[in-house]
Amino acid sequence: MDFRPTTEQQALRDSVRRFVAERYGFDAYRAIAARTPAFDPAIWRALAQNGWLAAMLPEKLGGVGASAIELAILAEELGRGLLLEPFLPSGVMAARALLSHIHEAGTQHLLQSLGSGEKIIVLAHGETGSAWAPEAVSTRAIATPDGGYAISGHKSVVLGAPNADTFLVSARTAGSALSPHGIALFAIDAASPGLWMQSGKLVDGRAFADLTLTNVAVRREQVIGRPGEALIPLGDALAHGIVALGAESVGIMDRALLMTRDYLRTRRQFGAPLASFQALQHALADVLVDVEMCRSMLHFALKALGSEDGAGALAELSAAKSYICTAAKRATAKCLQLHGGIGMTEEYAIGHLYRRAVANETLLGSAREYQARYMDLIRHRIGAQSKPGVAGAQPGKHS
Amino acid sequence: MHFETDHRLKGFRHEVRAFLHESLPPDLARRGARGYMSSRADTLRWQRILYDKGWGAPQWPAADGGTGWSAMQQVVFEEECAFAGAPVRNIQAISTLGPIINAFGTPEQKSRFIPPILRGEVFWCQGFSEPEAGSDLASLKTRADRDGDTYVVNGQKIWTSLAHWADWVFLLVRTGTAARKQAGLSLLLVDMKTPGITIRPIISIDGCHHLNQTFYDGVAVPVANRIGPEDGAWDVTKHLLGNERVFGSADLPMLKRYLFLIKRTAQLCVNVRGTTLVDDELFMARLAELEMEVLAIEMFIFRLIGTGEKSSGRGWVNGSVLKIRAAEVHQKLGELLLETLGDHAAVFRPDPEGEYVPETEPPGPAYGAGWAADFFYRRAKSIAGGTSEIQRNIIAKELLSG
Repeated sequence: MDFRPTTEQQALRDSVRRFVAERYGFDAYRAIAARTPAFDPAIWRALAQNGWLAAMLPEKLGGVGASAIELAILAEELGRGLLLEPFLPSGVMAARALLSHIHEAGTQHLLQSLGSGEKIIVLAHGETGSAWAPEAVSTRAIATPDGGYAISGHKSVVLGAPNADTFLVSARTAGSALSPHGIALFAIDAASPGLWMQSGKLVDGRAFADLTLTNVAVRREQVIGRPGEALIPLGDALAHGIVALGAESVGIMDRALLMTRDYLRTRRQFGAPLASFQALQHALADVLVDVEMCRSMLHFALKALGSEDGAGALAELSAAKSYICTAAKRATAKCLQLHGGIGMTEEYAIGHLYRRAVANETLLGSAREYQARYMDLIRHRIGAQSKPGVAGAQPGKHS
Repeated sequence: MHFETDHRLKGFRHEVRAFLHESLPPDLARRGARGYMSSRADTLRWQRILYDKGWGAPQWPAADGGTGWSAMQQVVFEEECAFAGAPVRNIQAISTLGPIINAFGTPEQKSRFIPPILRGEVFWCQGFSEPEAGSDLASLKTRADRDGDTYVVNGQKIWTSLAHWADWVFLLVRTGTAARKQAGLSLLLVDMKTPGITIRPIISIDGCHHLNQTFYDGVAVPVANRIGPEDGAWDVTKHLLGNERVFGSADLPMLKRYLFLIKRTAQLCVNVRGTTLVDDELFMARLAELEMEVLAIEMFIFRLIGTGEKSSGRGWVNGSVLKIRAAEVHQKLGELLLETLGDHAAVFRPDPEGEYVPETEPPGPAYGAGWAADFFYRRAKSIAGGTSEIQRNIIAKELLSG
């Protein structure tokens, strides 16, 4: 393990930070947040021009083959800036889902459009009550005589939907609602007949929609990969989504910490700076502890993602999702508290950071849901260890 | 930046495990696994065995008698020793005094004091805190007044761990009269057999005798036993705030051991409905939360020891971060472990090899014998070595002045 960033990684971090400082300061962010949907095409173009939408794509498709580590750097810095544009559902999750089928011409074309910023493509997978489990798909794709499908169902809280040109929709060609087999991915044009969007904003300003699909017709060419085998690409997309969300949360917490430090140093009451009061010093210290432990949990997630495939990584990543999102809410809440009255205002960034942390905890499944998944992993391992003859390192064999 | 583990570590782990299998005497392992304190005899015997292997002080620089292992190898070594039930070593000697002598001692002092430490011939205790100088250590009052080439020590120390087993003590004493309290301190190495030293036991709430008060009445100490410059000990002791020490105090192997024991025992605790704690959602939820904390702590430790103090982001405060969080997790895991004993969780089970032994074995599962004692002693994790409140002061000071 090596925790030092390479020069390229440091340069990436510096350039995204510079971008945010120049183009996405608090006032710029508020102006975009005031729009419906919260989206600035100039920002999206800039993300594309900087190569950040395409980062994980191979060079031949306009990317640099970035790893999850670079993704985490990107996500942290953009998250620190409270980026409202749909980087997560598009540049991260749709890109990963498509990358699994990169050998197909149709997919390559989509990836190029995604990376160049020409088309906004977002992944629409989560459904009501599914907590984004990869295998939880009730949306059905009924085969039609012409070799295509008619897709019907609902997709819940699709980030970036109001600006999307194309949706990558998961739907079932076979199997029952939780079966790992029989799931397929479809590239569906946003203007397709039968596709209805109910749009809204999250509490942090990000645009989303719930989708209702009623017999949306898709041609054979719009199927991504082999029908029935989309579980693994969906799992990979989710795994990277979790890492990106976790990284973003660390960025948000860290910015909140530093803002609060600055506030405590300058704000005076009772003839002294707030920073001189020990109770507030200790509260700030607790936030720093949370930030650093979450950064280490992010490292754990990157390690798990790098060393395991599919379901194994997702089970481990459940710990990261649950832990980081919970801590981010706690830490940003504490930072808001330390700001006193102005923490409650729209005009001050600290409340925005808190709202983002609150919303993030609900995305891709709640912290509680992921804690339950991690509990399942523990139970599974306990069960495996208590079977006779199972090999494996067991500490404390003498007791 | 990458997170792949070095594959050579696997081979190293097997090497350590094989050594432990061969060289850790079963009676030591048995006692070590029970969860009570390691005895003086066990500690010194194990130290000798390690020394004979060339592993007497693995974390010291190779030039000082260390092994030259990487940080990750140190972690693996500590883990394997803990899992095998190896005795706890004389931490005051190996982790605290040894590095100080190596860094600040004269060649004569090094050749006199280091080999017996490595060979497990001398047991050391540490005399720093006083009744009026705990968190405010620099206000300590024990004096050492110079008389020719002897210091005469008068004062007292408290919380002196294992003084009742120690051959020698290293004392932080006041030699100067400077107004700034940190500016008049010296470090003296004192033979516990020197006339004038009295030891009074302090029984702690775990029912065990680790701690003591030690009293020094006209104790004569050769000036040659002073480590580092006179009045210069504060800088010497700051050397102790290094990350290796915090890593040791975080005791990651113990955290992992808790998780292992909890999961194993949770299956054994059957209630009247025929279910176990593994079926209990609330219990499993707490276990999951704590395991997640351990995962984060482990990666934090890797970052801390892997990159070195100043380059690991927030530099000096990382030790404090770790100490605060690890202490909490130790305490909560100890608590969860105790819960798995069910009805008999609060039964007093003294160390069968300790100073008080009941006539009959108390009722309740014997496999958790030391767990209640361990649970109570864990309260010290957030107190000893700099309280969690002091750690927060350190973090805040660094953050607010930066």
